[in-house]
Amino acid sequence: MSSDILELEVKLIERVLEKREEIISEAEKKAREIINEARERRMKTITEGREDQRRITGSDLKAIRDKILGEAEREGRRKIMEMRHGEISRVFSEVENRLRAIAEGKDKSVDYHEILLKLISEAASAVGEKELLIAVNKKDRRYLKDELGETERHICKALGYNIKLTIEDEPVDCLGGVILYDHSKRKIFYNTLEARLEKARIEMGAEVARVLGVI
Amino acid sequence: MEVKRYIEVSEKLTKLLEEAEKEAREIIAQAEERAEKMVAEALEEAKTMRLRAETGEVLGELEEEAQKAAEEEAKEIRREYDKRLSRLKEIPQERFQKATDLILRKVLLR
Repeated sequence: MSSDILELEVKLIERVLEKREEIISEAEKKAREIINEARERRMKTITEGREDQRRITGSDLKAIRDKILGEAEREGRRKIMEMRHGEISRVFSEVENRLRAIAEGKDKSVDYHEILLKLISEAASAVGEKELLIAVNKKDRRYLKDELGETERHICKALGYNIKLTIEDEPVDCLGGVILYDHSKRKIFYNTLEARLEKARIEMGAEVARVLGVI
Repeated sequence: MEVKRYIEVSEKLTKLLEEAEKEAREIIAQAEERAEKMVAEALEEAKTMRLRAETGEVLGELEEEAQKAAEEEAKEIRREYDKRLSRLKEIPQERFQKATDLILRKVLLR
């Protein structure tokens, strides 16, 4: 056998072995593709099944979700509301302390007697009678007893008509301000500092919250 | 003599290639069979899932799942509210003072 033929034979064998390798390798590649495609289809099918389950049971599941999320929302809103309420109360407590100091004459930046006159004028105007009974706390009672004439003159001037003030015998337990009655005590106007503070609490809650920035 | 030997080798190599092709077909057939089984099982599973949903059998399981997911969302909502709460709590003193003065003016007719 010549060496040429032998060489040709070796080359032929090599080529065939390569071809064999190629055929198997191609088949394995295709097999992997088939399996991968099947995996994707399986995943898609299961996902669709799961979605169908959710669709079928949708309203029940939505109710659960709404309940849990609604609860969290309510809880959050309640916390904010409580905080807002607490901060507003803190402001009103501070105002009450300052009112006490003002009424007791400890806060020199405010002339309490001037305030008292304004409160009496406002109450007198609201009651709209000429003979008026005035009830105040013990300290203001002492002051008004001494200054009754001057107070009457001031109120008359403010109202534009004459009035007669009589101080009630019993003092009122309040920070300051007045309670004014007509002679028969059928008409009454509470203009104590507490009453005005309470009114402000009712009317100004939202405004105070806005100023505090807790809305 | 040499020609005869060459023919013999050629025949063996041809057979080798035929066997390789047969093996390749088997590999693909096995893969197809496996794939078909996988898809069939998945279809069956999806069908069972739908059936369980329709009969209400799966409701508990899904409810539990929905509950878990919603609780996670709820945690996020609570976190957001807590953050907002912390922000709101930081009231500057001047705002507090301004609110106090506002009420005082109203109460004292100033």
